[in-house]
Amino acid sequence: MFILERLGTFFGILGQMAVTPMDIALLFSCTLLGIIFGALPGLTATLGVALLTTLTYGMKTDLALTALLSMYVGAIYGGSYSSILINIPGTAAAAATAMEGYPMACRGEAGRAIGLTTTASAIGTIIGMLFMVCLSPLVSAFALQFTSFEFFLLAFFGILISGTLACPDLVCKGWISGFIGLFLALVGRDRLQFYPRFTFGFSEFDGGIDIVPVLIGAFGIPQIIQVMVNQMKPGEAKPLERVVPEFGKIVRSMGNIVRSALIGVGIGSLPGIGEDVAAWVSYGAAKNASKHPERFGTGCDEGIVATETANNACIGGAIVPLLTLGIPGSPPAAMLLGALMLHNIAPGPMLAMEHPNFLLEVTAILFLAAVTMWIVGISLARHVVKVLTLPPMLFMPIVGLLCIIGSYSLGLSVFNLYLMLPVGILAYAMTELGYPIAPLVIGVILGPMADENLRRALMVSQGDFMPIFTRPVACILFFVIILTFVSQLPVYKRLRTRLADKWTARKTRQVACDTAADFGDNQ
Amino acid sequence: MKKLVLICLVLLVAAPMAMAKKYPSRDITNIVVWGAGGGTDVCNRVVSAEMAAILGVNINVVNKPGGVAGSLGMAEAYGMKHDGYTICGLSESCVTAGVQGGWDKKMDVWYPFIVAGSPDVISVTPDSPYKTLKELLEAAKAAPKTIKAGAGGSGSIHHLNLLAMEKGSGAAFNFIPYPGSAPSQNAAMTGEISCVVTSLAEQAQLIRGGKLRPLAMLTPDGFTIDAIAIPSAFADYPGLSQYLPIMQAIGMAVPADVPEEVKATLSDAFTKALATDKVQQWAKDNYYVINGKTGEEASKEFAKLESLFAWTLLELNTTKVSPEALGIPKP
Amino acid sequence: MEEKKNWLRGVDFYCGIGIMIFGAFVVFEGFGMPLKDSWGGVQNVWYVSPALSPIFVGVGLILLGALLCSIGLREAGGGEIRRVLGAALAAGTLFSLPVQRFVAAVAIPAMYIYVLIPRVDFCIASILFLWSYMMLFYLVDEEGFVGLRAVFALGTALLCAALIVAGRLWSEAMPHAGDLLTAVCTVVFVLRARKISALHGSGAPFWRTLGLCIAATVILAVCFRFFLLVPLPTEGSVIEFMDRIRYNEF
Repeated sequence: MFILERLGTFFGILGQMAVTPMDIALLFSCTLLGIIFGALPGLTATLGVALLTTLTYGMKTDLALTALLSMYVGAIYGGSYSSILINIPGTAAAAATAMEGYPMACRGEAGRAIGLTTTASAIGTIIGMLFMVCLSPLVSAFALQFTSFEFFLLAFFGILISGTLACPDLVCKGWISGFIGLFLALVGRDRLQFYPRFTFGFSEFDGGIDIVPVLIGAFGIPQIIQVMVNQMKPGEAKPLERVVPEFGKIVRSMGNIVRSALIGVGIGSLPGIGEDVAAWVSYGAAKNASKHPERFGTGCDEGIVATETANNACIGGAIVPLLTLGIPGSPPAAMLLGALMLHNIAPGPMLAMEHPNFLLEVTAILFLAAVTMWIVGISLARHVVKVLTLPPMLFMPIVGLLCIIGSYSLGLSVFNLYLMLPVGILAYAMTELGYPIAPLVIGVILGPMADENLRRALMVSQGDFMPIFTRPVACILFFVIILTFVSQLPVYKRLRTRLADKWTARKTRQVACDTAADFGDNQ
Repeated sequence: MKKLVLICLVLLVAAPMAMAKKYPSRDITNIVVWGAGGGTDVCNRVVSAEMAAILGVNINVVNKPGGVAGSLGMAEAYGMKHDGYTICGLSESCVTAGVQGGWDKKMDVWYPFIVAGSPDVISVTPDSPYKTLKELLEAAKAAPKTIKAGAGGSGSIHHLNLLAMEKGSGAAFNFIPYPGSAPSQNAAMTGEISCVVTSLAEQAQLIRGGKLRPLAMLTPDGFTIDAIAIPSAFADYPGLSQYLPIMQAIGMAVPADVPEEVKATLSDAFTKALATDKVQQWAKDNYYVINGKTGEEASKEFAKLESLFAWTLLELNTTKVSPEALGIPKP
Repeated sequence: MEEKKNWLRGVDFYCGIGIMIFGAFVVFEGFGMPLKDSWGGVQNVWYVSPALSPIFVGVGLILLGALLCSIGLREAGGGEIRRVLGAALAAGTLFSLPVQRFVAAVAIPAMYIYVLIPRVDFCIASILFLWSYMMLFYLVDEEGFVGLRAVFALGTALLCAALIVAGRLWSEAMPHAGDLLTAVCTVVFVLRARKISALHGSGAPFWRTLGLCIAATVILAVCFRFFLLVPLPTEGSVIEFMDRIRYNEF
């Protein structure tokens, strides 16, 4: 009864919103604005939500909420545009999309790639939203299980995955790239005791190295330098292929989609970890589970669907603990928390009693935002693809200017810009020598989490590693890590191929026997 | 072409003359030194919005977190022209920027406006065996340095409150540092630590939802949320009044050498903004205690906090620059 | 392809050595961090110490660097390695055209970020940045690049020297002198590029490129300053001019 009642209220709110012109106008305009924010490198979802918080301060709460959530959804999705078209992620969440999207664009399948990301993002948002409305107690309980040990294991898992990602050259180069990323993560004052590590006396390093300058420096600057030095010519206008993905394909990818969405919601619910981690973990998981892992990195559909579903499902996952516990699950959600407090809505355990339909309202807005995003995305796809026909040497310096001013806007720090260029040159050298950049970025994102949480976990348990085996979630994570590690070993791979061969041989013998038997019978 | 150049030159020369207009004639920027969504940020946004309505110009709130104790944001705000068009949104934790090596000045270079502060409260996990503060402190005294306590980051105001409580009662906890108040509250909820000291504003929702059990307020007065009455720690341990309370001071500031007219206008707008219904209601709903001090009085409060923080951090051995070198007197 | 791969392995050998040295540095720094005593009110044990991660990362880098070295040695052989060293040290490589283009592509953002942004009005600095890129790479082909590089190198060096050295002297007396100087430099580049692109152009329309350069800067500056309300790094003459239009202070 309760569920039916809630469903009824939900559809009521949905219907009401769908016919209010102000709501529709806000949905479309803010989603579009969000997509633009996401697509421009340097501008992030957090900045977009922060900006709208100021602009919507005077509006009524539900209108402000519509604007903020549409911006959030649009921005997380919009990052995929620049990832696919120019190989520079528009937001940290879309960095993983660049790995598959850009090769697809180089092959001339940019339109199809955008269609896939749009659909995957919409489905991801909706699945995240479903978790919000049906399973929010489960998600909050899950979030409360995470203590320092679990955070460390999760970070370790993420770093391990980065080591299994596609490597253009030797495998050990990927590990070196990861370790360099981990080193960059160490710069700054350590979070437990404030001891300055590798700051060389510069107080600007005290807060550590921000992720945005590293991301833009590592992805953007090598791309710009490469384009300019090699005098790239614009792509030709290809005949427009079908943008909307076939329904059958979506159904076949359901396993991938559901797994990625689960990862997205799970990681979203954990405080402090955002959409970028969700995308990378999902990408790594998809590669491990795929039947053709060697295709990852050359432009394969599975990869791009995995990353985009996860980073959008993360939105729903981040909002659940925000609303039920007052703990934001990702940086844009933290900004959302501030916005809600400004409108005198205090998220937390009391929210359900003071504003009983609030969760349903948010769910309805998310659903409509996902649909709007899909409509806007598919309509824009054909036009956005034309960007590929612009002369890159004209286009790239402007993108460079945008990257620079974008990464400045985030922390108003000229020092971040100073950092960006050396990181960019290092990344360029690494790319030319065959080192993958993705593990470096993952190291910078997850390094601080792993370091801080391992030390704190050991501090709490006073040197004891046993809690890994006594706490349920930690135990599960530990086994997943062992499994991932083992599956990468050559021994395991040989075992798997031998077993597969034996099985095929058996099947062939079976078929031969049956055929012989048939013959025998007939004779 | 030549005419264009001439016009440009004339305008460039005329620029300073055009500046002599009544303050404020342009938008004001408020640089908040802490991250978006946090206590200082929300507080500044609410008050800035009201002040903007009173002054008739926009006040744009931007965040510039980073450095140590907000040093990057303070340096940026102080580096802009001292004409009153750049305000710095800061809090009491910023007084440690000097001794931690992020900043080379004392807090007296600012002319502050203190908005509010939230009293600190000590809470435990709901399923823990401690029902009163006495039980917790007796247990801590019986087994020193074993009961795990969280209080935000090392050197934060909540950490100072915890240390003061330890000094005044003789109990010793095992302090586990977290990157902020919210993670330490999470840890208390999950049971990783046994008790946590943070501000009432930050804990209010969790207390009301039954996720944390409050034991005592670290201020002379108790507090009542909904039906839960939280006694004052001073009731059982009067000795604490020597070291506590150490209250938060969230607010904003302009450099002390802005024109007097600017200071007067801002103080006036500030006081009016604090008196509006919106701000009063916001403070009440979020368990903030409005302070309202400006100028001289506010400066004195900051100086007091600066001394306390600087010399405590010296004891904790986390200072990069000695308080004496900066000329900070002992508390 | 085999030759290229061998070359890469040769380079890998030296990279491996570099990585090992770097790893050793990290470990050395790590041991300088507090392993005992308390710091920040927290008692140190080996697992709590801030040295834990640096030592781990450093050791990892040393091992991986050694692995890389050994693979390089094994696959490329001693001869190739010596050839790589020889080629790197030869004077020819350092001044070849591809290296020059790379240096130019990096020098432009370096000049922009390190010299122009902190000192010169954002709009003027950005116009110079965009124009330098478009002038050197888009408007002209490789021969044109050769013709323009002297002007670019000289102009940039003089501008940077003037801004850094003299900037401190005149910042009180003439606040907008830096802006003027940069604007003059841009005009010189434009005129020279016009001349060279007429001879060695790549077919790109000149005035349209210049127009795009200015338009992009102005649109971005206006969007960020007035719509996104982001205070720009240095607000010099042009931005003050825009401010006055905005607030009607004429």
